[in-house]
Amino acid sequence: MNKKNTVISIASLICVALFPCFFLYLQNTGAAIFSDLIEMSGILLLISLIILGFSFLIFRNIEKAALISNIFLIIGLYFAFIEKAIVKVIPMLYYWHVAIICLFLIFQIGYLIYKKSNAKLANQINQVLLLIFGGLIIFNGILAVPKAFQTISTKAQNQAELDQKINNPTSDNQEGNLPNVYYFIFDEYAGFDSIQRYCNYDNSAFYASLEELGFVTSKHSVNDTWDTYTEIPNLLQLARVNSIDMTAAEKKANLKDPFLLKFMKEQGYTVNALDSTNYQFIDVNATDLHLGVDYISTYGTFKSLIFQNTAYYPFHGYEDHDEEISNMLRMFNYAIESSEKTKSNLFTIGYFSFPHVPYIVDENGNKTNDSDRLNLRDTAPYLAQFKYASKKILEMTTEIIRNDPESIIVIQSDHGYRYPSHLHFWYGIDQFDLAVESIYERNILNSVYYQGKDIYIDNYSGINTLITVLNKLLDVDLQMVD
Amino acid sequence: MKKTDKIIYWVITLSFVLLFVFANDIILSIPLKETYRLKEVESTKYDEYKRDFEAKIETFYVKQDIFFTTEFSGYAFIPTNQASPNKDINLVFISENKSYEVDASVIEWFFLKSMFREKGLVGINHFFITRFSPIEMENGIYELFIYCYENENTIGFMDTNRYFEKTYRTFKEVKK
Repeated sequence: MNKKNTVISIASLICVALFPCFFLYLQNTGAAIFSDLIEMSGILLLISLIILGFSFLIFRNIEKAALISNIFLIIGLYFAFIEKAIVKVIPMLYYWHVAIICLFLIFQIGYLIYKKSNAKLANQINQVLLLIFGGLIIFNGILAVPKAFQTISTKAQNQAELDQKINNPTSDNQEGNLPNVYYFIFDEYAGFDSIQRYCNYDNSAFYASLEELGFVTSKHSVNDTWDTYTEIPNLLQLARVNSIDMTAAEKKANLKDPFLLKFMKEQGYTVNALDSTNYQFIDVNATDLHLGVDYISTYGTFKSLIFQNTAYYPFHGYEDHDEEISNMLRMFNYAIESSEKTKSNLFTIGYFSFPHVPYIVDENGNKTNDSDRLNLRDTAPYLAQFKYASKKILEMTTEIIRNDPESIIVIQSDHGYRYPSHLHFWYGIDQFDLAVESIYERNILNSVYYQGKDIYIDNYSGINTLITVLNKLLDVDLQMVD
Repeated sequence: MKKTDKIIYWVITLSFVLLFVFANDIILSIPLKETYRLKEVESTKYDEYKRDFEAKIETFYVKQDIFFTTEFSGYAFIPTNQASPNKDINLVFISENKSYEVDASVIEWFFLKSMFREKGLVGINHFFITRFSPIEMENGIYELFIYCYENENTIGFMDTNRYFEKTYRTFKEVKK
């Protein structure tokens, strides 16, 4: 066995197998997580080696075995594209027909390689594949280098700022009987003006119901940006640690060691968290209790983005829709149950990726059609989910206040409905002037129940509302942000 | 090429061809969890039971999976003096050329208890749910009928006045 040819054969297989992972990772430098890349690369490498092992048993020649394995991998990894192309021409064919066609093709090529080709030709083709896929990985890597350097330098800077904040607490500890605090963030729940502007929907009844329960509301509050990865770390750190122009990795780094959770612990609170999404905005290591879920939706994960093009796509994440509904309902129930746990010193914090896309329910809570699940182009699926979210928020707050009337409840969203941005970024439709719409896209839900008493939050941003509540509750002097 | 190699080659090639030709039948005969299979029937099969009774399709949902799994749920009942332990509900799709029938699971549905009580009904097993793949249906527009069997003397077959269009890649409700 020629050593050089063996190396080329195996290297070509590795490059073919790893290209989708590296392409996705390098195209999203700063946003993708390195451990996701390692995990997915490991899975694909293992599959490749198994295929190579079987092929070698048949061909008894590493060059030929690597060539057929490469062909098998290319077809398997890009199956969804092949299926789409075939079905476009012959619509009566389904997944299994395309799978049979592909397997038949692999069999025929394999037979040709077995019978007709020599090891030299197989090695030459492997070299070409190595050059193409290896070259593409290197090319994408070079393009990603400047972004990676930027990420590393700002990460260190942010960490230093956070360490300083955590090491210099802003108040003395105040152990004792403190009212329970509930803080819930509803991703993309449009503020009063936002929903009126994009859906022509008057949400006055919802605000009136909240006020009837004893909430103070601010209909025109806006946050600084319409970006969740900017706003949520800022809320959790009670400072503007993130700005919209930072990379996603830098923004995510500021989710670690959240100041708000540490601060509440210092004040004598037990931290209870709800976050059943794969975004993991709330650092469970900083909590005492948290809602455990058995299944997290695969929606938007690194793994799902790789699998969605492969032959394995029908079997990946097929339970997502039902589980997303069930997790969302479980979170509302858990929030209510939390109000029965104890009468004092419990800080419950929840991030609901709701009514944010995917649009999983209609306004009555019934499962939506799959075609509406990711439909950002029309306002109807969002509005339906928004209405259901409103119902669930009212149900939840009514129950919490019934169980725990002396509590404090803060309900906010991170940004408003980003309809103009959805049209622009997802569909390339420039129907709106984004600069003009920005204020509506940033118009948030902002309401506080302070034991049924008055508290001034009118036109405050999410952070300043939270700071106002904490200053009043804990008699501290956290500085409002500009 | 050795003779045995040739035989193996042609056996495998022929297997692929047969697999391809009968792929729909093979795949759809795999029993899937909580999923029924459509049966082709005569459009006149239940004509003798035609009558009006209480029935409603509450949800219609098509999943974008490889089977285009379609789910219908609702309720159907014909008042009886006794509970119907052997109750059976089927959905029947009838077009000009073809007719198909699919079984439904009959479920006890407590949320409808008050309505059942108002109607003076015995029992609560009047809700149904069914999931099936419409892939093997011939393309066309189908009218949906409900067949409801309470006992051997109480059987009904009713038009829902709802129409569904099947194409190779969609199954959707249409107005007629």
